Amino acid sequence: MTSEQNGGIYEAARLLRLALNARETVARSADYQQLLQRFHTDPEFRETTQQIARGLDLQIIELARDIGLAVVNIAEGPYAPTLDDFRSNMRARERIVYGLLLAMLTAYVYPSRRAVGELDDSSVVSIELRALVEWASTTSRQMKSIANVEDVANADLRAGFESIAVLEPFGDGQNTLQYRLRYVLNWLADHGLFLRREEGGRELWIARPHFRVQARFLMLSSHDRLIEFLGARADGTTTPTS
Amino acid sequence: MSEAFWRGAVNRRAKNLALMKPFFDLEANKGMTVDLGDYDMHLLCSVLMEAIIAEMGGITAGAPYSAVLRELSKVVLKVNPAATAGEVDRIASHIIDHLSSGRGRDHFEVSYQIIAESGAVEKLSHVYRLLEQRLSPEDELVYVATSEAIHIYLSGLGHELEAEQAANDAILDHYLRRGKHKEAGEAADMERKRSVELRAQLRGWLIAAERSFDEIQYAAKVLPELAEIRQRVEARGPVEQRQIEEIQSRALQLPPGDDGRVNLINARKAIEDASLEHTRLLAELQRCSRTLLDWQSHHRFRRGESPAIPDPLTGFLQPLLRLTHAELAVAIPRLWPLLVPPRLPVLPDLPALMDSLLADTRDPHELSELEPMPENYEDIVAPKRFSPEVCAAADELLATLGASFTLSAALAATAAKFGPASPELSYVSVLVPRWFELEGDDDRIARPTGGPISVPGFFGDELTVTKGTAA
Repeated sequence: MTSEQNGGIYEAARLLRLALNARETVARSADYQQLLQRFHTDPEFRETTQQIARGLDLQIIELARDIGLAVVNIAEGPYAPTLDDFRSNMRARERIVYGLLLAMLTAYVYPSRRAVGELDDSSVVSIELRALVEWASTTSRQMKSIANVEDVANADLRAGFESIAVLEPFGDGQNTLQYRLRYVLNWLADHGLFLRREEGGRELWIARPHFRVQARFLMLSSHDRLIEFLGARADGTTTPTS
Repeated sequence: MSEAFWRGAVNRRAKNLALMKPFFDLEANKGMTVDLGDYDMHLLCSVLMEAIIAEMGGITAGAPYSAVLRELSKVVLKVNPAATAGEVDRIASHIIDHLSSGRGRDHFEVSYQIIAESGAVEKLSHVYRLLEQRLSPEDELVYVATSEAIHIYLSGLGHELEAEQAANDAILDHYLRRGKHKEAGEAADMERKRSVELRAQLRGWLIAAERSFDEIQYAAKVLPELAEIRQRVEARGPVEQRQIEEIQSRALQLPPGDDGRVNLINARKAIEDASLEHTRLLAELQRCSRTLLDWQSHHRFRRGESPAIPDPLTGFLQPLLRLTHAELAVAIPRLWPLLVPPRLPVLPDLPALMDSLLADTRDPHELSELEPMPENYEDIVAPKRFSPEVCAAADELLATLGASFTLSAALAATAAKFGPASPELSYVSVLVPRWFELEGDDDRIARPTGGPISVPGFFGDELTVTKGTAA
């Protein structure tokens, strides 16, 4: 291997390292800008970077030129987060509620195919927690009302929307949608996917373009799995296992 | 007027009128959510657009909310001198919410009719935005006007940028010759806005090209268009230079403090800003040209909106919410890794672990934005792990072991003297391995000697400790 090739590998790995941090942007880092320029203009360098990513079970997604690259997990790679990374002491039912709230948040921020599809768009979406809480509460309660469900003793048979609908939207304590969605937003902000800003006394949560990548990836990948679950239910067979 | 020219003009204007619908809606519905009965929303929108386009030429390439608020308050206070800061904020936020299509969550879509070449009337629709939110390099939220919005704001009916620029130059010259300095200043400011518009137009054009690159003919269409824009921008240089010189010489003829002189100085500033904008535009053109050339040469096409993406509400969220808890207990752990970004695992760092164990107290964890979870958070004072007495007693014992000893010997001696459950034994078990990682102020070195520790209850590699620093 020549020293030039070695240099290429070093720089490709460095670019990947920068892309793994959602907080890094081309606008702020000359290094990132230079490496990204090479990624876009040097096919060999581009291939090297993608191969390193593939070897690590990662997939590179291109964002708008002034933002950079995003990286998502493939399968159960070493960088894939686990549920234990999020409030490790949670009970199973709590995990479900938080998982559903995270899904509700993605659908609220990107409510249409067009919104979730624009990966090369450097514009961002901002939301207010109050509006999100009201939407999540209304959506789940409407679903419950339409489904006209009866109370079942076995919690395992309750639908996901019931777990959300039963939560009070606002109030004191942890058992409210407001508390839990704020927790989710804070957690995403810690991962660099959201920013919290004040504007005219209001609190705005800004979804970075990287969050759009994760949302798109989730929606694309989950579709088949959801069909699998619903298909199993329709056939009366057992729930697919992981 | 030829049939084709007439058709082109009315079609273009029909579309432009349709694109203005969000502005009309804002005025028509002004009493529905926020009471804005006293205000003309057309005027407020105009002020807001003016503020945003002006800031787009600045360093943040967009307007922060404070700039929008500042400009809007000037007009709001004229209509209602008793308006509070809260009211101005409510009005600004209401207009931005609407013009940014729900703060970026949605788009506007208008339908309009055109007269086709065949003479038949056809229905078309156009999806667009007027305001967008972006992040500045400092990660602050700024507002930018889209090319459609700038086009509408700068009287887009029958719009033709190059012709308007030429007309504007003529107007500026006319006012300068007639000594109408205030009007000349306004014309110069219009020059600057046209430059911002041209840049926004190029950006919008590039995005459109990115989305459908496989459908456009690079050599036949794109290259000539880029060359034309470049030529147009380069031609602005001498024109602007001439205008600056003209303004300069006229300003010098007026006494200091004269209103006309102040207006001319402002006009010169506006032309200089326009010139700066054109320099930026040339850089963007170069980047755009290079980008397209790369795509062309590598035959790499960006993916557009994938039909495989399910509708976020009906194809993703609702089916997920309908799963039962038993199904979700299986589904959530499988979906979870898809939603969150890759995490960088923390590699084990033994010396850091040792330091942590030997530290008196933990460092406060300040980096996380997460609030402490009340259910997990107990306000207790952590006991000190090793008291000074324990440390002194263990150090004293180690000193009796001589210039060289093994970790096993140290552990055995400590257990014999202080007992197998003593804090002194725990202290020695973390203190001795620390010397394995030599630091400047250490007077002992620990080296692996091969084989495991021979003391019951302890696991790991045997170490030999010697006094003195490394050779």
